[in-house]
Amino acid sequence: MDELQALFQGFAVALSPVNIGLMFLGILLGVLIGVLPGLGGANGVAILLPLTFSMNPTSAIIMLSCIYWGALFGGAITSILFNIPGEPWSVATTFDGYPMAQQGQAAQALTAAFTSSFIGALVAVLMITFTAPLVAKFALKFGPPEFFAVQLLTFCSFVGMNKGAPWKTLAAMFLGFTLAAIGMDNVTGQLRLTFGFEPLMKGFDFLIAVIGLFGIGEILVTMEEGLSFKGKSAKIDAKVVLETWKKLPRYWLTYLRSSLVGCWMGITPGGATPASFMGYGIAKRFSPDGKNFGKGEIEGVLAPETAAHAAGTAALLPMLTLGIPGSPTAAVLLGGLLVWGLQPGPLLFVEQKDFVWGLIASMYLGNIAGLIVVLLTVPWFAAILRIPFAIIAPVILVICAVGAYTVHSSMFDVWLMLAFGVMGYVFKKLNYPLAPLVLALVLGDMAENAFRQSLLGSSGSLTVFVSNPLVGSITALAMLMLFWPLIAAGLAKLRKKPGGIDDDDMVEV
Amino acid sequence: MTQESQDPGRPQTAATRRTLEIITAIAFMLLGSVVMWDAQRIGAGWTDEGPQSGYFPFYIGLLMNGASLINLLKALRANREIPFVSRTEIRLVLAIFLPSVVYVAAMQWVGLYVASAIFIAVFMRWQGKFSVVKSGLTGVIVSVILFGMFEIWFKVPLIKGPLEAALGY
Repeated sequence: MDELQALFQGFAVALSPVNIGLMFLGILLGVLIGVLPGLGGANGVAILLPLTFSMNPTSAIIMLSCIYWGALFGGAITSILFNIPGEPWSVATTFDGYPMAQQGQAAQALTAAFTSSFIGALVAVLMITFTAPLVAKFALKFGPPEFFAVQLLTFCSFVGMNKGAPWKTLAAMFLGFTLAAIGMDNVTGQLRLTFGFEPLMKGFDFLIAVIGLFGIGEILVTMEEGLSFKGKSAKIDAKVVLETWKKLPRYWLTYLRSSLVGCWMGITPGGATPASFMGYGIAKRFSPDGKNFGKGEIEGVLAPETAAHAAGTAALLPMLTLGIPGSPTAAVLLGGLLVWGLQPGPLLFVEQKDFVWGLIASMYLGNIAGLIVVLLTVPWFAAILRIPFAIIAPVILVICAVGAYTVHSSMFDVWLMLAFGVMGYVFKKLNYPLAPLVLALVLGDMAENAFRQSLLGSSGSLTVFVSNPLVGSITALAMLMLFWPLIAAGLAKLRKKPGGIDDDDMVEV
Repeated sequence: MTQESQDPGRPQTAATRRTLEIITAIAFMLLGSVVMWDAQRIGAGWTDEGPQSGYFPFYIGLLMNGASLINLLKALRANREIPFVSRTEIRLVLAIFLPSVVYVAAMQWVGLYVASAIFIAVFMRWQGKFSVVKSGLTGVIVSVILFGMFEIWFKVPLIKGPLEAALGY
């Protein structure tokens, strides 16, 4: 049980007074970020990342990952009390959470949501604890072709998992790769796509893109809906919490299903948002009270919350072991690792044991801290949401501008942030997914290097990606994901009676 | 911009979704073409030392053009009635976006702190109809908190203007 021993050492690292303080600070900031529109996990971490450049990496990642847990918890507050999902992954929580609040059961709904988030995260952390070292050990054997194949699988999964428009997913992804290519080619030193324009020579910083796309874009979308929020107030006392907890063990099977869905969607980069919808859908299908879903069923709150939090946590597994993040927030954290001089990937488990296990231990502690913090501070955060949007909107804009400026102390970045904001607004409204864009921007250089090195080894032949059973099966899996929309459409057509003409994939939801 | 839905009951459309889909797809294709052209310029082929700098970007540009062409064709076939944004909505969006542009421009001259205070105060007074005192105070307080956090606590200098210089920073 090497893992357990390593984990206990990790606890020793994470339990220093400074780190515990940062943990609570991170959770509080995270819940705040999760509650406020326009600030989410990804860009909240992006804005605060430059402030941690001078900290020691372990403390920094503990604080930043706690911001992430906090944001996952916080999304539920606005969904239940205001019917406004603070985060995309809490949309499914509004379906039954808000009706419960309307029936005066806000406290029960919140308790169920927080507890389920905690359980989902716990399952995912346990999974990470025991499988991460194995995956890392396995990945040590990977060469460039295998790494490129895994990255190919990551990107193809976006096409396969995204219910929307596959061509838009592809376009957004290639835009990310293009932005990543701008600046100096790190193999030959050639300048690419800079056109002699000096600020472009350093390349695009993905932090700016994240702050603009998610932060400014979200503010613009929220502004459309007008400036008023109306919501229920919440008070949680110990009695309600205990009574709700008594009810929860009954739903163990729902928890199990949602956790598994969440873990799977987190490792493959489906992400927390589709996981929450799948968790909700599966619970609705299997529950004896399925027909009451949408009217204020507690099971309809706990199923999506468990899945979303499990997915959000599990997204860190591929980031730590392979250097491939499973979600935009994980991508930002990965960017942080690079800044702190840590190379994410299998070697991290060999060379930076303290860091890795400190982080994993902090996932346990951070989620316990998170559960305590949210249960105690809900009324306070609900009050923040009562602040009119006419105050919140400009303040968040100022925070985003500060965040963009601090990355490189450059005014050009602030302008770039505004441009990305407009792009984020248009993309959001046209259903161009932002997650593949950001991931491609972060991973672009790495993917290109792996691709070039593979081709160097095979002197230009693409057969290198099917040259042995390992890389061949990863590539095959990637192709399966890539063509999944077509395969699924084909299967659906077969099932329908033959002869019927139906539209190909024109569904633009 | 197109205006098809003119009946009084419905909110007036400022732009249809189809228009925006087409513009976006064409923008993607323009960018894709620029990428391919630049990749050709620096060499997208294969030399003795392996792939040239433009090798990978060239195919990225090509694939982006391909995907966007399909998006464009789909957009051309799409419904012309679906609105992208109504007039009321775009007015609200511009109500925050245009001041933001002025705010970022002003930052270079008066510094981030002064610009932020004015931006918050003006927006609160104009859009939120708050009293002048409340709006002004909120703006100043936010800027003072930012100043304390960045200049004093984290020692991360932000862009400053004449006021900070007069105060000795």
